[in-house]
Amino acid sequence: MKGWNGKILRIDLSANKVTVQEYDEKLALDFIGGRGFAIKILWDELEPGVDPLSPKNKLVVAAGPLTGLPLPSSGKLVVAAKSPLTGGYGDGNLGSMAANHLRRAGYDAIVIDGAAEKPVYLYVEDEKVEILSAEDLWGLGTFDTEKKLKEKHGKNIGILSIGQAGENLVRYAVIRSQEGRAGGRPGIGAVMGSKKLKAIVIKGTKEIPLADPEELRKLGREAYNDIKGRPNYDFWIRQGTMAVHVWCQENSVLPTYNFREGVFEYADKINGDVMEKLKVARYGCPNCNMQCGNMNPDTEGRQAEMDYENVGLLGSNIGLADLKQIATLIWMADNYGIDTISLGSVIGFTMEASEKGLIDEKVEWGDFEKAKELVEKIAFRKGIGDLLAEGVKRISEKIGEESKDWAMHIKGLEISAYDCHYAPGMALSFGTSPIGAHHKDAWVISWEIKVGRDAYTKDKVDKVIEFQRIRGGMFESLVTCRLPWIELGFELEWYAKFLKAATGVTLTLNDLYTVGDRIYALIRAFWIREYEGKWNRNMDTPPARWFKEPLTKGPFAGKKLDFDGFQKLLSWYYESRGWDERGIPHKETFEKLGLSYVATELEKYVKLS
Amino acid sequence: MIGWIADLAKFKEKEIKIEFPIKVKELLNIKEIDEIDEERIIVLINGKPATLETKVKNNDNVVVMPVIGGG
Ligand code: SF4
Repeated sequence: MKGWNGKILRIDLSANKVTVQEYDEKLALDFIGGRGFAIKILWDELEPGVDPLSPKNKLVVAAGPLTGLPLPSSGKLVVAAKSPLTGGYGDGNLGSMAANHLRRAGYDAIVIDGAAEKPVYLYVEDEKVEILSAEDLWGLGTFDTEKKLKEKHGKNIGILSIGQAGENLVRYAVIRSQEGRAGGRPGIGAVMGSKKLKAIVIKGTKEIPLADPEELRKLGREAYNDIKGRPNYDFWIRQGTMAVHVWCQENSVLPTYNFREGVFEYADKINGDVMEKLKVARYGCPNCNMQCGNMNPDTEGRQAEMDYENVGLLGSNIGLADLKQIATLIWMADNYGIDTISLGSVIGFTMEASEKGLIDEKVEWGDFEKAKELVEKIAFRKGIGDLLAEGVKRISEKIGEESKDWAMHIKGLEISAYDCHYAPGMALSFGTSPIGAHHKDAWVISWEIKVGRDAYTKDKVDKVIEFQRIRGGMFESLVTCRLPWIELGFELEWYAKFLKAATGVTLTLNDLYTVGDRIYALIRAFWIREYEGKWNRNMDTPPARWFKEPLTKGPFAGKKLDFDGFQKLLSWYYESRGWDERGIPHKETFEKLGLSYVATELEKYVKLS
Repeated sequence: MIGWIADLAKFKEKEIKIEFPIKVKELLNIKEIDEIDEERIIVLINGKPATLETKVKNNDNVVVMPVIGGG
């Protein structure tokens, strides 16, 4: 095999054992890499019903055939496990030098099983693999952890690490990599913490085997130039995803006061134009020439990375109207290794619960000092933080039924930064996202606004599926960043060419979409096996707030989602995917996708139609 | 005008009086306009979806913004 290394590194932390698995071409062709490998491994190997925070869960770190090559924005990795937040399949992707080093060390993935007795970290240098003591790192934030590891192993390494939140099993703890970002919203950092694994350090020095290295380098050069020449490149470089803020306010989709409203009265104090003036530096993932990390000073003079998602949730959603203060919350979350989206949702939910007298703690909208205190309490599970570390679904179950309508999550994962009172297509996208309410798989809202927001029509369903195939299937398994395509209009056809040059295999975009469908069906099967009889279509339905409480402010005051309309979209979605009315794939659908063995296993848990 | 479109057009908001209906495209005055794929732009006239080719009358409220990916 070319393009793929054909090797998976297997670590059993309980037995202190390291093995290398060679995998066959069939896995590569059926699942490509990244998310595809992750779900295949977790489906095949996890015992159903396993406690996600027990040693029996497995942590998968997976690259794809394009990862780490000299191609645009290819320094990305997928991290996955059974999620402690949702109880279903969970993953995330992050930019990291660890992506490049993993591939150069000769592996496409690492699977970590078991748990260490005492804190450890994994050190991989090509064939040399060691499980080392991390006693001196345990208790440190992610910034210090990286610093110490670099002092010890030199600068030329890739690091994935967790902060205190991962150690303390906060259910929405992420994995961090300072050169890149955070990944693994559904608590993949907590899974790492439960294994007492503080960090993974990788140094790779080999060449990645390629089918046509010359062609690949040529394509890479052309592609980088092409990206630079795009008309909106300059603006992107200045604002990155923060450009979305103004756009969301204008379109009334900015999450505000725990997703009550879509406009924020102080939005113009915290948008991309303001950010651009405060910005001191830019950074991002490896191999990227459109780096989008905006570094902004916080209240303490530290530099925090501002993206739309974290400013959306930790700004308007909690009523906070000061960019420096938002930056401070982001810095803290990044240091502790907490997902900023879920964090903003939890704090917003807590503020609303306090307003309604459902909790004793007094937390007012926009109270920065209190928000800071909560972030710290969550990271260390101190006082009320112990409850808040559980995520909005569990908090709501604890404080009372009446809060269920405004516990803003789907399948247990907090909703990312787009209010859907007046965006039925986007609501469907959140509803059917394979990890819970995340925007990564199908960000359809922009297209929806272009074609009309009132409609509950089949074309919206088709668009959601099209995006899921590209974003959730193709990019997540090739493992490169989707933003060149999304943000700058870099054409998808490039990727089929890249793949051909890297692997020698000719796969059309349609072939890749079929892989995407296979991955989706398998992820769905994973959820259903875990939930057994409890699985139903409400799992794909957004919280009641969007259906029951209309917007009261802005140009679209009075708008809300139509419940029956949404259910119609959902039924169409199931039908198009070859799933039944419960949202469970038909037996025939599994068979068509080459997943007969999955159907056989799943029939032990539910009756297939 | 929102986002990078506003950046290219060098204005965010403007009142323009027009003698007779003209195309949205002509209102914008962006030199790169023909390089930009229509698919990547959202045009709303009085809140309703339109295109760069749609004609605008006096007192119409025109919003032009990029189709964006939102990360
Ligand atoms: S565009 Fe942003 S997220 Fe994507 S690879 Fe570049 S820096 Fe990373």
